[in-house]
Amino acid sequence: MKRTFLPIAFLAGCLLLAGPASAQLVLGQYEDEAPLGTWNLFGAPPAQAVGMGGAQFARASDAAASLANPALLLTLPRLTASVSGSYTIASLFRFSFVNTGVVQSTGNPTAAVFGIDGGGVAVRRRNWAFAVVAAAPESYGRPAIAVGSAGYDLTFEQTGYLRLWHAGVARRLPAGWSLGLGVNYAAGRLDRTTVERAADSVRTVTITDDRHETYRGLAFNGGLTWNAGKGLTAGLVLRTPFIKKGTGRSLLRYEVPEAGTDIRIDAEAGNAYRQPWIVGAGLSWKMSDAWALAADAAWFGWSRYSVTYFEEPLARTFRDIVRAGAGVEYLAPAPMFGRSARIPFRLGFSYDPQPVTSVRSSYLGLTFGTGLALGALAVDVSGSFGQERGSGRSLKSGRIVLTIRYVVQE
Amino acid sequence: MRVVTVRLARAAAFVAAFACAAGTWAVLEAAEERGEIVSVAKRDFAAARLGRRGLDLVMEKDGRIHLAVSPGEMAALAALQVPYAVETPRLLHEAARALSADGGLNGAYHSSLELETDLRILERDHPGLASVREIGETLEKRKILALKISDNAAADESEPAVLFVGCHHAREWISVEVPLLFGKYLLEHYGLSQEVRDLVDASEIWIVPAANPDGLEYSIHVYRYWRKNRRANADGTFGVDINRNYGLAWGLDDLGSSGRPGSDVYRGTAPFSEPETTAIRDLFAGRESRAMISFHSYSQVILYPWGYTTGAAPAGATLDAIAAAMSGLIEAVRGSVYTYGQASRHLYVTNGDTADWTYGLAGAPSFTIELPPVDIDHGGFFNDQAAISAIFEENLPAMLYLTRYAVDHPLPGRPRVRLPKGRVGSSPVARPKQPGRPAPRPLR
Repeated sequence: MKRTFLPIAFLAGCLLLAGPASAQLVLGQYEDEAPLGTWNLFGAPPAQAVGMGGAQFARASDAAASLANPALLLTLPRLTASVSGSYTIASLFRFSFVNTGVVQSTGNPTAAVFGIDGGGVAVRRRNWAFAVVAAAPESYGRPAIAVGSAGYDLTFEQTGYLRLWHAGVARRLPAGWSLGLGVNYAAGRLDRTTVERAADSVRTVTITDDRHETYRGLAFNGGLTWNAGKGLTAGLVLRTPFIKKGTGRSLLRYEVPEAGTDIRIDAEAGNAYRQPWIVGAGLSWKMSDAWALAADAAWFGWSRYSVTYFEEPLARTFRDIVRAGAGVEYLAPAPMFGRSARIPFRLGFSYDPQPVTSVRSSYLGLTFGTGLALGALAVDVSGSFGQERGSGRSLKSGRIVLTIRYVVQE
Repeated sequence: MRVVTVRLARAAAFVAAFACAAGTWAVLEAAEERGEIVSVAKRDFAAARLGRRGLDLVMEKDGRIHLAVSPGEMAALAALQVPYAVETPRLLHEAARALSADGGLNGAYHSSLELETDLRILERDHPGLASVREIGETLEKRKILALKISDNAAADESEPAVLFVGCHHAREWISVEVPLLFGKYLLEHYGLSQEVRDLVDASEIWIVPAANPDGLEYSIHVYRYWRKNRRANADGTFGVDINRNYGLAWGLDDLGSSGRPGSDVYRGTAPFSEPETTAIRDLFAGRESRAMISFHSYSQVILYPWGYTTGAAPAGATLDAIAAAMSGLIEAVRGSVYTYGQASRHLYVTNGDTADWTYGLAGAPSFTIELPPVDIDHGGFFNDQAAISAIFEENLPAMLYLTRYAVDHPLPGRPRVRLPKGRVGSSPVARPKQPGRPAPRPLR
């Protein structure tokens, strides 16, 4: 009874502590470079972590843990290989010229992204562990816009992504401590096109605003883990700030073919996005063979976020924020095909304040997950649902993550 | 250190951009073929009376006079034993750098930040003649900047003032460049042209290149054809047309402005409800302002009050004569035809616009100049970057003329304004086709 009550009480306590969020949003939430769903992305949590409120600093299930806390690689089986895919959907209100003066929507437009989140391999050998991971943690997609009437149309498209290539190493230290370090190479692109066309019987005027960016950057992350015994593990993590730096190309064009008019402004210039420090702490407690708890808090140093766009600084007044998440897991024994199998049930929550200061907003998220572990193979699926408060627009975000994992025990 | 480097780079870019914009680029190219650009100390220039030798004067900068000289003229210069420095390689290098670094989404046009940088450089390079004033702050916390040019710019003397203002409407990028280049021209030619010196000494010339910097930024970064400022209206729409927000005949009817926030000619909730218009109001009303030009685009017309009524202004004949003179001066440069006339008759009825208010305040001759192109077929609110200099140059004589007119003609006094009776903004007149893009459209 006591062991059942404790996880539930822990989760309820966390929810009460989170309380109603004062938060902010509006245009800045969806500046062009804003990742879809939330600004606060760290690593690429697999389904197991997503189902427990995103807690990943003190509890690992596969190589993706190395993106957040490489020290946790020492807690994995001798060999772990995994791959994750996800479906993300988010509603937006103000982005580009939508609901900022040019085009008004009656509701919140939504954007959805489906794709492979990433995959990796982790190997543990005595007091060392290594991992290589490829991940695609950020998408910059936006709802495509097409408005118009007879003789007039206005279209908008934006796509983009950030990919990470990561290598991590961990070393076991005395007294239950472990230390891990990782190196991350980030690369991505952002493409945005607006076309406005007006035609009458005499002419067709076309205005094109076409922008393409590519960027890359290098960041390091590290983690420290302490196994305190009795199933309790504590983790400390950090990621260095880094600059996504690259080239932007743009074309602004006005065409009236009937009049022979073709006015162009071509540009190529350097862009830079200064990504913030991330520092976090996490706890996990394996209470029994069946029950486990995990909780994380991460500080994102957004107040020093800066953007240089076509060699001109853009105003981005952001604030530092702390994102928190916690969850509980219950492993139910479920023998199958004469073999011992387990079905996990996970429940969690997250509190995810957004860094934009013009209007304060945050997402309160509920997460859940399940799966099946049978022998060396495990499949997990988790979902998270976030409800935004603060903007007055009740934005929503949702994510379903599927992770397939193959493990080789000792 | 990085900041210093960036500032130095911007300074160099500015010098080169000026060289291009003022036509120096052409002189540089010609000098490369025919001779060199050389600079001599200002005192040597005066002492040796080089000006009488018919040399091409390019500009004055950092106490040195820059001249375009042929190989023969260089020999003459040497014979005069005037110390000189050959500047051609440096200027060409800087100009080339500007052309490549010029870029950005808006090309050779100015963003708010680029504008502030260039205004500060002008102020720095011409101490005593130029002073940059912050005359207001926008809703998005950008500075509304004015460049004051006078012989004692730091002091507020009781000299007649002339105002040149651009970019009431965000998408009219060329309207930023023309007044800005006029300021540069005056400062660079103060030491070279007696005409310029006389005007600057006798007046305060105020230049506000971007009255609507918030809108300008939105036009550059989000939607090129944005017109208004960035006021968040109560109904979820954005923007007030600040050229319908001035205090004379504000909201007189729904023909010359609109009370519907989503309209491109929305007049706002009250006269001078917007920080941009209060900034211009306080600048203009706070001194002996004798003339004003508000630059817009497009259509190549010169408009004078009244805009709110088709009735003639009290000194309409004078305004017409000045407009005719300016039109003639513009055409004389390279043949560009700017038609002219009373705003309400020549283009369309407006109420709450800049020129009506400045004229109504004290009778200062006030004009709206719609810059090129002439129509939508030739670019609409777009102008080729290469045309910036030419558009400025053809407007330069008109700007000089109006400044001279203002210096020579004290104000006649406040004109009589006869507004029709009735509730403000209640005109039943059917709304005709308005300029610009229609109201925001719903998503499909």
